[in-house]
Parts: sequence; C-alpha cells; structure tokens
Amino acid sequence: MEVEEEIAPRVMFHIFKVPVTDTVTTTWLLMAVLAVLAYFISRNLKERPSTWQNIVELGVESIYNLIRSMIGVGAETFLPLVGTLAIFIGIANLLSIVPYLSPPTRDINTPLALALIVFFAVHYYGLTKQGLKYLKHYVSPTPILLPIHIISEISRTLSLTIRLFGNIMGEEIIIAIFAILAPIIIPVPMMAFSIFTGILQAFIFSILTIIYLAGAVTAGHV
Amino acid sequence: MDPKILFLIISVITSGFGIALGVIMPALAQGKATAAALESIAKQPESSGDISRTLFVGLAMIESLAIYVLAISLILLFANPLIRYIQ
Repeated sequence: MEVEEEIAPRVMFHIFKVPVTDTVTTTWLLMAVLAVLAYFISRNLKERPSTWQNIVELGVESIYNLIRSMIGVGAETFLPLVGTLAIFIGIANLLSIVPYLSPPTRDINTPLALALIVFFAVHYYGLTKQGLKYLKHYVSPTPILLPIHIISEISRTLSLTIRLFGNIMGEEIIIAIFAILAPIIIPVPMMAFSIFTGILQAFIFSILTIIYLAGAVTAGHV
Repeated sequence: MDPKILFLIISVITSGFGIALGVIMPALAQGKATAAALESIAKQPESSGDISRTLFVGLAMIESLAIYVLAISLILLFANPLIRYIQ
C-alpha cells in the first residue's frame, strides 16, 4: 500500500471540482522553466557564441544531424517537433532524482498525450508532403491488408505510450521499494541508473518519432 | 476458501511467474542483438554510429515486450478490473 501511495499521482488542489494532480503542476513548472530559459538564451544571439549559446547550439545541431541522416532534405521542418519532444521528455524523466518532484511521464496520461501528438503529426506531415498519395499506402499492396495497416498505426502509438510509461514507472517503483526497505544510500545507485534510463528513453522516443515521420513523408512508405 | 483471498493469491502468483517468463525471452533476444551488433562493429568500426543507433531502436522494440508484461503485472497487482465481480 505504501508503494502505491509513493508513486500514484497526488491530487494537489481542485479547479471547479476537477482534481489537479501533481503530474499537471509539475508539467506546468517544467513548461515555465523551459520557456523562460529558451527565451533568455535566444535573446542576443551572436556570431561568436557565448557559453550558453554554445551548449544549446550543440544540442540543436546534434538533433538536426540525427533528423537529416534519416529524412534527408527538409529536416528543418521537423526540428521543432522532435527537439521539443526530446528536451521535454529528457528533462521530465530527470525529475525523478529531484526531491519532492516526480516525473510527469510516470503518469500514463503524459506519455499518451505525447504519443498522440506524434500520431497526428505523422498523418499531418504525410498528407501535406505527399498529398492523397499518402493514403494509398494503406491499400498497398492489396486492399486486404487495410486492417493490418490500421492495427499497426494504433499499436505503434500504444507501444510508444507503454514503453515510456513502463520504463519510468518501473524505475520509480524500484526506487520507492528500496527507499522503504533501506532509505539511506541503498537507493542511490538505482537513482543514478534512472538518469541513464531517462536520457535513453528520451532518445528512443525521438528516434522512433523521426522514423515514423520519415516513413510518412518519403515515398515507398513501409 | 474465501474467493477473494483465492483471487488475490492467484493474481500474485500469476504476476510473479508472468514477469519471470516475460523477461527471459526479451533478455535472450537483447543479448543476441547486442552480440550481433558488437560483431559487426568489430568488422566495420567506421559504421559504428549507424549500427549503434539501429541497435538502440531494436533494443527499445524488444524491451517494450518486457514492458508490456510489467504493465499487465502492475494491472493485476494494483488495479485489477475483475475484482469487483467477486463479492
């Protein structure tokens, strides 16, 4: 029972009788911090970058190169989407090592929302880049395979959700159990491992997003 | 025996065995994938970037199978929807 209380989303307050959990408030906090940081870093950009600008440019450039290596031309269209997903998920997962905060991705609603963004983005970019030709891949090679294409669309969204949620949730459960059994020192290696898992999951989420986008916008869709 | 107690016992045993069995196969598969990737990196060190990126994606795909088992176990243990049919 204790473990359950440790990891379940806590209700912080109510707005018009709608319960607001700490998932939502942590997400607001994260959004505010990221937006303010991005605003101040992107103010006076120079030819000779300062330290902060250098760090951010490194990150942006590596994400851009990743997208370009898989999609080719037009990579900069997807840079905002993929970059935002990567930064948000990465920092959200890292919140598991901050005291009194818990990662919003541990609540299944956050990964589901992110996966739905990817789902709609894939269809949007597929339709805008390829036009109605995009819909043709649903009935290729034969129309009999239409149900299978639809199932694969649903299952890929579901697996994006469950993968992120399960990894972060599992990690949180293990840390909570360790913290109940032996609160001092013992959970620390597991928390250090959760840094690695969090970054890796953000990487995998963005890589899979790029792969799905690449499949939708380039001809010869799988 | 009280059916509720029996139900709880069966849920715990099922989720324990489920996670054990459900982790064995993905572990073997991940070992195989990593071994193959290391072999090909040893053969062609210049393409290690591509190989490790593909390896990570593949590992994520394999790992999600184990995560499905974890999700089912968690549902069985903490949020079993069938328990309300037992009085």
